[in-house]
Amino acid sequence: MNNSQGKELNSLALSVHRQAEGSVEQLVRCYQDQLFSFALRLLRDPMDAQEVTQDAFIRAIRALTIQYDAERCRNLALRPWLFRITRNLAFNRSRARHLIPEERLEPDSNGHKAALLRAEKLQRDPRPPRVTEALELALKLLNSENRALVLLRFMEEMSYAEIAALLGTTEAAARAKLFRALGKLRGILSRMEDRHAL
Amino acid sequence: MRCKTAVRHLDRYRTGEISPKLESSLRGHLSDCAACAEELQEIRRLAARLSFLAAPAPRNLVQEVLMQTMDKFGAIETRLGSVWIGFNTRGITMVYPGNHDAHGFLTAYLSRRFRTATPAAVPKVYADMVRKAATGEPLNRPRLDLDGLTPFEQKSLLLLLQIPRGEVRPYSWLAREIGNPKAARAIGTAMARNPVPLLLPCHRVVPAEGGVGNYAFGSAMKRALLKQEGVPVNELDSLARSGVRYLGCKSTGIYCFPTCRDARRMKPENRMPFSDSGQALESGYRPCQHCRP
Repeated sequence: MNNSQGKELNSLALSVHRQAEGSVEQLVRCYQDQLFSFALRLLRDPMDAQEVTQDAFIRAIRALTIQYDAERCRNLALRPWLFRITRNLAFNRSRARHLIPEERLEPDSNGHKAALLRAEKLQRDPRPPRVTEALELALKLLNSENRALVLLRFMEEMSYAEIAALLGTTEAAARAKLFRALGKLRGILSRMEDRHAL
Repeated sequence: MRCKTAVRHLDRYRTGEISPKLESSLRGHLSDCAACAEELQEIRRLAARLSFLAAPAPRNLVQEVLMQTMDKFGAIETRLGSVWIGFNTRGITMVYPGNHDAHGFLTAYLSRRFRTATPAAVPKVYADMVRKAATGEPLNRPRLDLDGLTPFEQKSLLLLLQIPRGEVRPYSWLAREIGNPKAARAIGTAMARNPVPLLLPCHRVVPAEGGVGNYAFGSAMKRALLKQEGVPVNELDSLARSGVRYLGCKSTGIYCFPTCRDARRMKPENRMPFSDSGQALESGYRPCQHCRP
């Protein structure tokens, strides 16, 4: 932690640990938008994102109040830690989603075909998609780890120190990972632009 | 500085997370190299576009988290004396004897439910539920929160609701009913760790070899509770002492647990005591379908 913000946030972790009045609410209000956006862009489903965010908070609060002692709470890098919990839960959730076959939601094969057709049409659509749509589509094509990295760095404006704390690596390694992830994203974006330029 | 090196540091340069020395050499390179300067602009544009993807959290998120994390506790007076009750919005999380102080309750709460609770007044619904259970009246559907207990514990505890008032079952019966006949000891542990005695009637589970066994509120209380529900405790003791586990009926050829409602309405002359089920089966008796011995 290199700034005064970090210090203040650690005292938030500590006051949750001490179960100070209103500290849980403060924690949730402070981080809910960040964590929710992150989960939403990872999962692309608002319901799933909300559940994952809530679960992340509940786990975090349980850990701070019951599992961790005061010393550990004081030294905790709160923001990366919360993002790490959210990221892992979102990965678990999307993995579990893959295990549930889509057919269960769309019981007839016609429905499935319709969805495929829609997707194809979307790809053949000559009009360039709007900027955010293109970006969302490109993020979707990234693998989940790279997507998480790009979102953390550019949507959440996280510092490399924080990302390194989140990943449990060194800053240099975090920078290298992000450099590659960014390259991938831009590759996808430029290919998409090429297609629509034709 | 070469372009290959420069591009790797552009993003750090953008946010200023860079040493002064590296920054100045990068600035020098950027003023010379149009391609790298354009690259930096490209990263800036992308970052700006990505930052628009942030979305506000749903409004009910705070409430949901608070609801799910905030457990409360309070004491109420019942027929059995004062009782601590832990609860949250989903239901009662713990019932604990009132002869401990608040600190004792919280220690138990932490070790049993892995979280803490804050003091509060007990809502009337919950207080009434526990009072009713303490007088031995049947509850149709107690509102409980068993979240966080193991699946085995949840399964065996909820099975307790199937033991009718006025009857008792051995630990091995519960073990067999949940499909794990060797787990009688584990059932014993699960019962001992029942967070909500009274509401989930773990007092209706007794050792197969007789006696009433232990209880969160004390053995004497267990005996009193069972008596109040109409279990002939003393009679059971004398049966157990003479090695009787099951009673068969000569006229129907069915054998039951001694407390089964069907066993208790047998005519005395038709009673046929058995010490184990093998013996009963050999004599041509079949198990009762109500108490499933």
